[in-house]
Amino acid sequence: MGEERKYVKRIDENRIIIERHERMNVDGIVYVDERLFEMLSRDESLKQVENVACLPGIVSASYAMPDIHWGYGFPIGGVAAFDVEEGVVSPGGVGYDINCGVRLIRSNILAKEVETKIREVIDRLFVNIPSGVGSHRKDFKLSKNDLKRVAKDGAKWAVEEGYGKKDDLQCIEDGGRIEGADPEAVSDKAYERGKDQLGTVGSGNHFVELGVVEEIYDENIASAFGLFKGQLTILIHTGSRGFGYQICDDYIKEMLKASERYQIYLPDRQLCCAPISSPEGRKYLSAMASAANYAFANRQMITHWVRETFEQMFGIGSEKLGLDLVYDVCHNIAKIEIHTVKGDKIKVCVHRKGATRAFGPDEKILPERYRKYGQPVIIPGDMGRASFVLCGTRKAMEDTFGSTCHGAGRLMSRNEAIKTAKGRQVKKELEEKGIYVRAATRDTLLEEIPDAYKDVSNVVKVVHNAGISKLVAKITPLGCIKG
Amino acid sequence: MGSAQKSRPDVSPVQVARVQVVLYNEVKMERFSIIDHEADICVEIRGESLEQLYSNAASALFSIMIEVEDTSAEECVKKKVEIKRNGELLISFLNELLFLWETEGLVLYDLSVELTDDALKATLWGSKFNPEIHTVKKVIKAATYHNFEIKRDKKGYIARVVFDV
Repeated sequence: MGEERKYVKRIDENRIIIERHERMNVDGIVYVDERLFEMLSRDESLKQVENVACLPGIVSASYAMPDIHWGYGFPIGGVAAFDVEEGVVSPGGVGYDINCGVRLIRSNILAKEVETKIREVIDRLFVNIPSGVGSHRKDFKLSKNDLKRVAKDGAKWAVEEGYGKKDDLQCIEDGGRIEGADPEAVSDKAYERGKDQLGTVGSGNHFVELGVVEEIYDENIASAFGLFKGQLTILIHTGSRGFGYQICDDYIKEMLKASERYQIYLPDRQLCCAPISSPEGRKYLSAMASAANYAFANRQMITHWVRETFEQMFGIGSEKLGLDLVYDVCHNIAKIEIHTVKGDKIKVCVHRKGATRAFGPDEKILPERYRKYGQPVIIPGDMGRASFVLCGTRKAMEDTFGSTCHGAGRLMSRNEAIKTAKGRQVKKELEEKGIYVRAATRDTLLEEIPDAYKDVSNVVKVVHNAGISKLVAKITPLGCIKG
Repeated sequence: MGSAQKSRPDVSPVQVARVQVVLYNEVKMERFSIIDHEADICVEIRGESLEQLYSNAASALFSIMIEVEDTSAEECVKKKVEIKRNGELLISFLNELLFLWETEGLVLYDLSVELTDDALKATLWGSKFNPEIHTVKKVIKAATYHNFEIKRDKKGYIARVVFDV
């Protein structure tokens, strides 16, 4: 790392630049303050920002958000836009868990009024929502044709099948259905892997969490998002499961060959890619959209079971409980978008790998109810601290292709976390803080200890201060089911 | 790809269990080591031959994911797989095992690997996932190509694989 540091300069208190050198086509720009920058010295993530800058057709810069950490290929927290005519699309720039994302559901329940019932709600959610290996609803079976409809129509399919209401679709990125999905671009293996996993949380850092709005930073926007202090909220974090992993793996193999065919220089093979306009590039985007739609449908079905659980628990309809979507955002995705660069409108393919779209006010793609303010941005933290709701800004449109951070970002490796947690009663520690957790996979609680993550407050502070999103509310956890 | 059978003619489930215990113990000590990696898991795998390297990589994958408590009451599953050389064979093989784990619940106990000019042929022995005897420690999404390499030294082969978790 030492040698590369000579190209690293601080732009302002929230950003550093990695000046273009050697085979980089553009600079690297990383949103970090001094404290978060110091944490980067431990890994190779800055090198990964440089590697992405070497890919053809990259526009403006290779960006990384303050939750940047070492990933495979692209760094986690990476944002890169490629010109659709001259640029490339890379499955490694999206990741295996295509459209891993998060949605926030609000309620009209005051958390303090249901304090004594949180444990029971979590226990019921743990039964009603499949989490962990091999668990799926026995009352739910899909044929390959059904799965093809899921791939084509995403959350729209789920709503048509009775999982949720039409109004939900307005509050999901792209209406819960990315255009251009081609179910025929998806392999039989992906269908085989995905058939029993729709409507499941999965494992690792995926979860369903109950929380309470602890602090409001912007009353006006919070009110537009339907959020108020003391309110009970539900966060759902999951993605496209094995369906997406298989699609990514299938296309990485294709892209390794394509990179050779198109003579694309790869600093790391995981960055393999093809021109966006090539048959290989177009086919990947169609398959990726299929996985993204599967993920939207997945979160939609889980939302339905969350509502059912609350109805069973409180004996009141979910409409009366006000269990409405605030928004649903993608964290791992490549999207064709139009952005203004140096005064010209250009069409680009924006890769966000561990980053969130953060479109500002007046963007036509946003639902009317939010258009005046900007897009809700949901940033989950670790199990023990907090999550944040932010709002997209015009500055994000100007500076980062309408993108911001996605979470806390890991600080410790999983091994280190397990070592740190050894001998500790993590579940009990969390309970003492008033957070009740049920986990399906043995090491999850240890690997996901709050100490293993950067403090998400520091992460959101940087994007807020840099102006690429605006703090709206802070949510603290009350209970959680983890995969 | 071959079809699953419900018995292994030459080895009883109890013998398989012993093989597995020896295999995992060896694996933990010598055949692979975990290298710290922030978000994912990086594993260094060793083997005297390429076949052994592939076999140890498969064992490493399953010993990271699953702890087996008791195999005495299990029915053995035998499965044959063949993977054509298309890209990195070791990565394709590990991802095939993840596919079998997710779609058939195959928990691998033992395997034999044969490499030919154009393919990898493996015979896999294991059992179907049973939460009463198998504890899932962590779930791996995929074997990635990031920093992937196979090197040779005096003792044989060394591979580095980063798993996405």
